[in-house]
Amino acid sequence: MHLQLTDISKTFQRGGDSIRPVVEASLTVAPGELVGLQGPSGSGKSTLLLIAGGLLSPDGGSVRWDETDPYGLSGDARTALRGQSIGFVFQQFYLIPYLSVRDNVLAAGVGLPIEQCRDTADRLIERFGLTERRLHHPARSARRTPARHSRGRCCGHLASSWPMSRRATWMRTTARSSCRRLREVTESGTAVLLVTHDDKAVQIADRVLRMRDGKPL
Amino acid sequence: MTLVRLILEEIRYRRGSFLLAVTAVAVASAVVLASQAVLTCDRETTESLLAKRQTEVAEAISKREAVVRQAGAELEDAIRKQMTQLGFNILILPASQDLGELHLNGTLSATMPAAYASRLADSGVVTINHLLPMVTQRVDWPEREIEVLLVGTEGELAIQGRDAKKPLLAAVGRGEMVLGHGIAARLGVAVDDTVEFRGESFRVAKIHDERGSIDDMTVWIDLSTAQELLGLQNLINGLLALECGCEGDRISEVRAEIQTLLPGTQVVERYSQALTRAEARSQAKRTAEAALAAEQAAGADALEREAESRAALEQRHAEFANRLVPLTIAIAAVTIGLLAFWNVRQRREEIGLFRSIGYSRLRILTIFEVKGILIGMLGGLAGAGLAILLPRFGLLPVDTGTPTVLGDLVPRTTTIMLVGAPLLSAVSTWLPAVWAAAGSGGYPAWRVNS
Repeated sequence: MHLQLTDISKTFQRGGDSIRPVVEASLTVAPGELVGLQGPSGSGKSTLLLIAGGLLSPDGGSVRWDETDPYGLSGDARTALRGQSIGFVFQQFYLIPYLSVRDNVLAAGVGLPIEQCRDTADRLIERFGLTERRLHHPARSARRTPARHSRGRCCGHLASSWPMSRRATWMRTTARSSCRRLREVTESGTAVLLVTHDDKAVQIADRVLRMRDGKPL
Repeated sequence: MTLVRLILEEIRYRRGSFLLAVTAVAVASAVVLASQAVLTCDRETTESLLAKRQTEVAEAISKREAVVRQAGAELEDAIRKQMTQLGFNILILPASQDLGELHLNGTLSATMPAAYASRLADSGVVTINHLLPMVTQRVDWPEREIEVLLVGTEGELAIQGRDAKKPLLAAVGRGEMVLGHGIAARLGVAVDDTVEFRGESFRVAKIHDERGSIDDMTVWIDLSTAQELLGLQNLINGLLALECGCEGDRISEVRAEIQTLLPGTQVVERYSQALTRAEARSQAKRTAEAALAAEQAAGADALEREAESRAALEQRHAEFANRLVPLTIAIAAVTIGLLAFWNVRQRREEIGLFRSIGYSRLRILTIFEVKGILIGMLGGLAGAGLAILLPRFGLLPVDTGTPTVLGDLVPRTTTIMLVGAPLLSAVSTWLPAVWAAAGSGGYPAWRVNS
């Protein structure tokens, strides 16, 4: 996927104040390219990531996923396109607490053929060395012991790694294992936008942009 | 990963709030069904009670009718006998009899053939029930030096073509004598004593109670002996016609019929006794009918009071159910709605995650609505079980095992389980589900924590 953001602006109203985290920001991520985005808290990184991911409508400017304007689609059409084309790797686990490791991974495979989902999920679980624990509930285990917590964290990233087989991944994370995995997926032509505070994490990026005055520079 | 599996896993994980929602639906369903069972049971009990009461009243009236008939008959019989004791109702006398002698002295001197009695009896006369031929004269009782009224009678003659009636006056047997109270007292005789009268020996068969009339000074012997003693063989002084079937002015019909059958006779009605007797008989009948009508009215009144009492009870139960059922349903709906809102709040991150990875709004809505319908179906089932089990443990004063209640309960239970409770739960879950699909779900998961 070729991601192109042009003159994006976004304003939030909080009480009587107007906050403009993103001001006429432009950004391009080519297929197979991994772009790092850094900046202090509140600089507009996450807002730009949401807009790029089709989750937050901008006040101005345009977003292009290849030739498609996601905000020109209906909500459900945009959601379906996002489900098929874009993956997110979250900073937090966002595990679904009542699902097992395998079901957490499978839950991300909505819209795909079930057999393909199972094969992909099992392959990912095996790659992370969690085959024996694929039926465990990671969120419950994580509350009990630090060791299990680490496994839960791993599973969280495992679940979040599902979209890496897709064409684009917008990522806000500091997990290095995930970062290494991201480098791998760009080889298949996936465009990656990595948002992080971690200087080491962005070392894998093809280029690094810093948010300043609402713009990536 | 199917949607159903996702829903079931979530239910298992948050089973506490799920069970609470199911309980709310179960209580509402149980209240609806139990209220209906109570009302149906009320109707059945009312019908049963009223039918039983109706039978009791009918039996009471039937018994009363029998009692009234008996009382009427006894009253009529008593009046009839009282009338005979007052005097003769109709006296058939020879046409030559001076009525002044009868009225002034109480005696008769003219005679007519004794065969008149049998002629009248054989004629099938319709206006007379009892016929007594007699001779009577005021005579001395020489052995006792006392003046008495002698009456000779042979008892009642059967009237042809008429059912045998209970005789008003018993015949006096030959050789026997019946005495009035005054004579017996004056002579100092008792029943079974033997007395001499005009050279004949008689056993005292009976002594009448004091009547305060000429009867107290009367001696009754059999007709043929009296005829011999008085020298009136084959003759009689008159015929007593008792218990005439005459009412009002029908005495003129009696007189006409008698005079046709027995020419040369006259019919005397003394003291309008026939009319009095007829009135008494009518009065007895009216008294009996009034008593019966009173019983019927009392029965109908009791039935009406019972029906009104049951209707009032049913009305109270219905009013209570009409308030309780909507209130319970409203409480259940609010409970389900609040629990669904709480569930959406708990799952905002999860919903955001689903939305970000491609779950449509309809899919999110479906997740919550299917759960709501499941809550309704399980709640309806549990409510039906409660409604049926509560009476078994004595917690509800109805019998849900009767055919009527079961016949009413089963289709309602099915309807509530399959339609009512799921619909209630689905409607109650609707707003939170829409909120999840359109509002909370649209909010990015990671911004929730920020």
